[in-house]
Amino acid sequence: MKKLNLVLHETTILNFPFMGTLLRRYWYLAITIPTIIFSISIFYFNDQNLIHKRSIFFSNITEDNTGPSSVMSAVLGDKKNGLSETDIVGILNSLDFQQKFAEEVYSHPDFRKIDLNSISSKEKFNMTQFLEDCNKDKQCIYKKIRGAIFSFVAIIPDRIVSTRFSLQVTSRDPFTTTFLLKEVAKYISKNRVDTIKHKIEDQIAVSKQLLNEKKSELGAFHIDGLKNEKKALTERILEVKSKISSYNSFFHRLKLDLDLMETKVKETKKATKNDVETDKILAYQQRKRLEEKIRKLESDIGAIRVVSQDLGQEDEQILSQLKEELRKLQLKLVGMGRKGRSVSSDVQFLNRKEGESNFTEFDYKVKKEQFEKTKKDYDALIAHKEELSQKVSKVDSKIDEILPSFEYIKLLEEELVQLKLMNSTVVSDLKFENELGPKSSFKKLSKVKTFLFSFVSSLFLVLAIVILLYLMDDKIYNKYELEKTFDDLTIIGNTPDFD
Amino acid sequence: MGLPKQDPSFQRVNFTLKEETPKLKVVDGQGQQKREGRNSGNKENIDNRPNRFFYRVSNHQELFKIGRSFYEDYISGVKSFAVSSTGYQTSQQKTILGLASFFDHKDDFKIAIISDNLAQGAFGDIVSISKDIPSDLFSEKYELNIKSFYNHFDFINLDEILKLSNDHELGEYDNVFDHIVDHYDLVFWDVPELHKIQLDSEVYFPMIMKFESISIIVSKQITKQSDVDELKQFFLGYGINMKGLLFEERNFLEDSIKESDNDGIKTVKKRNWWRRFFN
Repeated sequence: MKKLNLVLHETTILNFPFMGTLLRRYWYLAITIPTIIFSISIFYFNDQNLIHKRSIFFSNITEDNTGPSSVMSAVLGDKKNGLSETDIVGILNSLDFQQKFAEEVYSHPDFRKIDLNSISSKEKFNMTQFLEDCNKDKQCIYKKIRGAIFSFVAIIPDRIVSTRFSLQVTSRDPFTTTFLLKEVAKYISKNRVDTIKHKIEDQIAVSKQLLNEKKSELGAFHIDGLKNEKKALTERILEVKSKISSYNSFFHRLKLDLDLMETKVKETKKATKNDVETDKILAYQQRKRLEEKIRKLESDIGAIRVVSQDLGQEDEQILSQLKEELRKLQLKLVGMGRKGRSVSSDVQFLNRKEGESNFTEFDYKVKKEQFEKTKKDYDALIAHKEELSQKVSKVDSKIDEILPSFEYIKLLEEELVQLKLMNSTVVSDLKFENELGPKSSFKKLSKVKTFLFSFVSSLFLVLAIVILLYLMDDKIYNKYELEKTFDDLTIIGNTPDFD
Repeated sequence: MGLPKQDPSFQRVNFTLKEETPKLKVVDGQGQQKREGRNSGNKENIDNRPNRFFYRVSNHQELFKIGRSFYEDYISGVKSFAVSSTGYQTSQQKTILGLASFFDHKDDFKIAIISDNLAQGAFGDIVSISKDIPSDLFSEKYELNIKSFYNHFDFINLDEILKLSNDHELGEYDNVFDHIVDHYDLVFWDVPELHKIQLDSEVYFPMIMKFESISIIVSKQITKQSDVDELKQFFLGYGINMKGLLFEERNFLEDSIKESDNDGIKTVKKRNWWRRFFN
């Protein structure tokens, strides 16, 4: 444990200065192990096959999202039906694709020239030998070819442009690399056209089937008849509404008149029922007489004053008697107060109403009869209007029910036309560049990787072995180790040395 | 190491620890004078003792560092230092010699170096030119052969001490070791190999009990961790203070190679750069 503590460090994990000491101590290992590892690595590097790589770029033209319309479509949630990046990269993994390509390439005149040995293989390739296991069984041959070819081919997405890809072929023979690159690129384009056509044809078939189904479903309905019926009903409703409106104003006026007459009749009857009391009539007559007397006296007094300017004593006496009498009458009238005053109007009102009463009641009866008839007609109109409205809503619901199906049929018909047009003008959605990429040749494990691998593994192995040796080594090599190992004892110093 | 200098006039102990070119010189002189001076307390005699031998240490700073560490222990009361390893006697002996030289330079110590391997290794040359001195540790009957290197250090054979300690007439079991440790200011034990001690542990037990501090030498690229652990556990089991570890960097994979030309002069040849890098 103490030894392990020496090897480890609380900050850097490994105690590097001490590791240096250990490496110097076990220097023979520090030299031997890296030498062995580097020798093996150099041998392995030199022994590797030279790999020939070539690529061709292509673009997914349906997924070109750089235009403004596509961006707006994306914002609105419109989904495109084109290939995604994963679909493109996975094209080569399709067994159907591989099988058909194998069939095609097998029939190619240059097929015998290609080298289908694996990249790491050291043997010389012989096609006859390669295919002899299958005994001319075509399925077996195709399976073998596709297994060999598709280990060389890969689709790599471009790091910068999302719609750009490269088709890469790596093999140990330069001719095979170029041949496969051209053939696979050609076949991908062809395969895409076939796939798109197949898809469109399927869509056409499905659309036709749907169209027929919908048409047969809607055969029982006549949407035009329903629309005409709705129009007629709407016009009739408008007429009824107009009638109702005129009836409505007449009816209200009639109602006001009837109410007025009803009140008149009621009040007249009420007035004729109430008799004027006799006291009231006597008081009224007395007041009338007093008022007559006062008026006559006032006119007499006025006439005397007008006739003679100089009144004699006798005249004066008469005048004063008249005045006295006037005063007494006035006092008497005042003494009656309001008694007998209203009776006069009551009596007059009663006399007048008794004459009118018979006409008013008759008019009222006529008006009432007219009102009831009008009301009956009005209610009948309202009911008729309701009936018509219900009919309209029924027709509406029927139309609403079948209208989407009609729209759907319309759309299907349009879609069918579009699909037919598309099917006749279909092109591949993957556009390959005309020029192939440059040829490059390299080794599977590059010089830098070989060096790094050798360096890291040497370092790791040397450190591991050196630490292991140190842990197993019981000897003490320096004062530092001595101090750490016997931390409970004092290190006095070094022993004296004599020359 | 232990080469006789041509000029006999060098008769002083001349440690050059503080010089720019580090050279530790242990120069032989009249050892007897040092002994006499030490016994009589005559300072002047000690300073004037002649030296004839010269030790050269290449990693002088390291010696100074470890020497100071041991010196601090000595100041705190430790005087019996054992040096052990997992079977590198020469390294043990070189370390003991270096430390003994350091202490000898520091002060006028009576230093004993006890080893069971005096005739070989780093001690061999020095012991061969050392003089026998009469042992005054025990009675005449139990004589101990002590070799004094010009009165700088006394070399005592461990096997002889062990034999004496087994003699029941001499007193208690570890009396002999007590006597020796008490007699000297500093005692350096060149500890025998562990398997030897383990095979005859009852014999070595009194010796181990006298260790106040033990240091283990770890040799670069040779010593195993498990061996050091075993050694450590063994001595810790006796409750001996483990001073620490000494690291020996130079061995057969050392940075420079000594070569002798036809004239017998040793030259230092630098190792190739790639050998130095990968070591």
